[in-house]
Amino acid sequence: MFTKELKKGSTELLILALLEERPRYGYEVGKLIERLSGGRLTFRIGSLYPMFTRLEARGLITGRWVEKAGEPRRRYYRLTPDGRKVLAQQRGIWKEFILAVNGIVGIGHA
Amino acid sequence: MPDWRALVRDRLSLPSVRPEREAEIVEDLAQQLEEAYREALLQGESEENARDSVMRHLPDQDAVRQLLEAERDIVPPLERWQEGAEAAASGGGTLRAALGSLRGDVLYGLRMLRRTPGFTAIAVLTLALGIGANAAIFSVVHAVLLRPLPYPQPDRLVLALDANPSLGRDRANPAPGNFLDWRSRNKVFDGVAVWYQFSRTLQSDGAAEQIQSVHADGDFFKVLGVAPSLGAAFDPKTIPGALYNEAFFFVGGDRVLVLSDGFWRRHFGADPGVVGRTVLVDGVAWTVIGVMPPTFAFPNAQVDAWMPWDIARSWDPSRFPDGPPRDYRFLNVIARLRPDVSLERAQADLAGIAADLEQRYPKANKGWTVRLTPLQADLVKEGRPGLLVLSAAVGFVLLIACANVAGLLLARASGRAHEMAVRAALGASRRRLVRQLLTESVLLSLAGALAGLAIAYSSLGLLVSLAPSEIPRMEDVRIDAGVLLFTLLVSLVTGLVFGMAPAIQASRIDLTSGLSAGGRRGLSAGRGTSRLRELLVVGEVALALVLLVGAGLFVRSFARVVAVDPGFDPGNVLVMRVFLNTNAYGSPGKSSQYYRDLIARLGALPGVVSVAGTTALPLSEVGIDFSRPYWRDGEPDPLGQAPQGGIRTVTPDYFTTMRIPVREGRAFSEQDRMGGPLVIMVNEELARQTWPGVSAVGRRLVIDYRRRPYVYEVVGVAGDTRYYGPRSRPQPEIFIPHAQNPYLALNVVVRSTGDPERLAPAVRNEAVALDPAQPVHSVTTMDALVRHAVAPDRFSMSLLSVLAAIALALAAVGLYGMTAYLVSLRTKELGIRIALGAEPGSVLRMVLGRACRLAAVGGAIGLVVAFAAARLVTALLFGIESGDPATFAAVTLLLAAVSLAAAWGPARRAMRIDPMSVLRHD
Repeated sequence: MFTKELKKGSTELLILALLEERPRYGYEVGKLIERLSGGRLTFRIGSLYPMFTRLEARGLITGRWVEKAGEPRRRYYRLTPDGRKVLAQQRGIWKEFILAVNGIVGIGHA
Repeated sequence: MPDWRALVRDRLSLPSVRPEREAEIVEDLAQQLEEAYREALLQGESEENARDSVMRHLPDQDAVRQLLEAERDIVPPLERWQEGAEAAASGGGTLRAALGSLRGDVLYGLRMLRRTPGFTAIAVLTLALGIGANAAIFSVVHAVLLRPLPYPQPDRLVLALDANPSLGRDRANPAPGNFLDWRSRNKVFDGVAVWYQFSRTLQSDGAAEQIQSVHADGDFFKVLGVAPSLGAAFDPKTIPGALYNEAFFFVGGDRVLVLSDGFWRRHFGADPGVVGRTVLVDGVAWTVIGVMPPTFAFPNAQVDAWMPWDIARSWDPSRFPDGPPRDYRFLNVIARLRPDVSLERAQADLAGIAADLEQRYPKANKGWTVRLTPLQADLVKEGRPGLLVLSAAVGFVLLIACANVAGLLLARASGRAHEMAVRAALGASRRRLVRQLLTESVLLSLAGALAGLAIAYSSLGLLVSLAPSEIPRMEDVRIDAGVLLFTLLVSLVTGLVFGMAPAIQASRIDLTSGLSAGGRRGLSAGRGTSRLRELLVVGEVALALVLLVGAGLFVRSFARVVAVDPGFDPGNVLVMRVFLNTNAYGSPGKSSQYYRDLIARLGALPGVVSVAGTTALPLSEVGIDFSRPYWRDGEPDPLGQAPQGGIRTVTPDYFTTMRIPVREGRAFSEQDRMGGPLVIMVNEELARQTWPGVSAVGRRLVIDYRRRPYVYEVVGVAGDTRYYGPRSRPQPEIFIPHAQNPYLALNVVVRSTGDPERLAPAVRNEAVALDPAQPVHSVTTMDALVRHAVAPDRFSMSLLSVLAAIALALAAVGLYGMTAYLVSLRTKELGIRIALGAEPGSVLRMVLGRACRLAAVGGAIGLVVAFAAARLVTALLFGIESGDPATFAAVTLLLAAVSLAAAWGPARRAMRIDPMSVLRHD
């Protein structure tokens, strides 16, 4: 439903937001996005993965291998202090963006 | 459970990513895919459906590209090879950008080679063989042919030789009288010196030893320009020198000598107090005045001492009323050109003097002139042709090794299509890709060079020890800066040579097929590669054949050399040298008596068949070997045009001991003694030349020997011997009975019933018992001398054979690899053929046929090249033609058999292809 371009612009924000609460592993994040969006936003594992790498490269998240009893070995990601700052910024920008677009396109609040 | 890791790895190709990081990415993705798969199963999906649905989650091209971009930002800057490329390509091209880019290439290349250790090991080993062989042979070539002699301005040093074109002699030793005129009358030399090498007995602290001494006149060390490391050398102003008679025994004058470094260390333990010490030389006291440095080895490395020689005054006026003789041609003359004088001008000057001497002394000098030749060129002329052949041979081996590695690289390139496609997608130009691949090739060849140098270093010792003594300066052979530089250049060029074609081929990127699933090469690209590989194999086979022909010719030549009848029987003969002291044995009759006694004593030993003595022994380097002019009695003296006969003074049993047949007349006996009629024996060659068609026995010969020409009666004709070795032709020889011409120094030959070396201790004891001051020297066997005489032929043959074997093995490996590659390319096609009913036998024939056709083409080209190349080495062969059909035929058969064997394995595998598994994998 949503084009690649639309998804691309917001994916980083999605990941950062979902890691705010606690560290998560990649597959978990993908499933969460699907669930919390009511199935409207889906990502293939292979397509989501590079986002994690990019965020890691920019120092906004860090990854760590964790082995818990009874569970497979997984790479968990968590926000860095820089990541929290950027998340707060991005949230603000996103809210402004939505308001601006809605104002033009004419979607009122339900 | 599908193998998610393998599937992810197959999909991802992250060449610019460190292996550990790549493993992490693979692990992470695979784990996520596994979770998705499990979840799908839990939701009730079938295994197949679950797999299919999860497969859609694998990264696509876009994702891989994003991943690479993201990884770039994580990994250290050095691995951003693409940025380096862009910087260089943008034309900004500063040196720093270029160097950084090169560094990136090198690190990347090293990583790629580490990833495929099997391939890298094989390639490096193959190159090590080729480059190592070249380094080893070049070390020899460098030391022997190229490195300048260790004297100041060595290019100014020349040898002066006599020559007589009308007699067909382009080199002869100068005579003393003529030399003295050259020295006093020339205007072109800074110095001219004369020398003669002779063996003597040196005794110090009781122990006696045979030494090689060089008698040199005063200018000798000045001409060569080398100062002693200890003490002083002699110079004519202070030390005029010693006087020797014509048999080279000391008769008066200064008794000082300069030792070689080697002798000083061996005999005096490098004692710095050796200067001033007294030693006995042939029983006479001499004083050591100096020691030469270790690098000084003139005229050769066997010289132990140099003794000054007053050559002008060495000639007894009663025997030489006209002064130093002009027809005793036995000297060696060396001169140093003046700095402003060219070789041509010096040659003209000397030729003018020689022409004048010819006019003034026609008897000695008619037809004789002087020839100057640069010293270095003269020293190496014996060894040069053989070394050049070996250089060419190792060059061929290297080419074959290059072809093999190029083939390996071509095959490897197929597996890297995906990587190339990704890089091209990321913006790398084709030139950039070629550069990267060439860097890897050069890295391979540098690694091969390092390993090759190790091989060369460890084999040099063996090479030097096997080398015949005819090759000079072998003691100088080592891995030095020149050899290292050569090896570096060769490895760089090698890397570019074998890397170019594969690099160009690999960089021909087909983007769509390259990036698609796994990036298997398209069939057309595979065909291009296989054609190249076929060309390489054809080249390898051709080169290998040329080497095989060369080796085969040398093997047959060696067999011919060894089969030559030397004219005597060398088996079971012990030889040694006795050098009688002038003081004790100089008076008439004493030396004859000594040798009669010695021969009697030795003859009485158990196991001894017969004993004899001779001044000149065939194949021996110790002895008194000279020639004198002769002519038929009753004819006028031909002056300088008389033929020369080798003079051999022998005891009566010489011919029976050496088993030289007496063809006519008789051998010497006890009746031929001092005061009796002068008799000689001649060899068949002299008899044939002098009295063609008639018997020589009873005829009379005039020989200009001793004070004046004497007439001798020929009492017997002996069989010809190959005096100078199997390759030499018999020369005219004259045998004189020792009783009528006593010599103080003789070679004693002892024929035994069994192993002659077992007799050596007993023989030594007998000599010491007869006179303790007269030990025997240079004890060896005739067999050893014969082996030494063929050593140069054996050396060339052995080395060439080894190289040819290596070349054949490499070519076989190349053929095997190429055939296997072709089979792998055509696996599907062959499988289908078999499925459609083709007989396995026909598949075998098809594959073998292809391989054999290639070998045949290579062989044909090789035969043509070999035929032409063999003509270049005709001069080195003995007894066979360069186009010897038997050799060519045998080599061709060998190559055919090896080619068949090499292609057999892959052909059999092709025959056994299971069509079902082939079709299933489609």
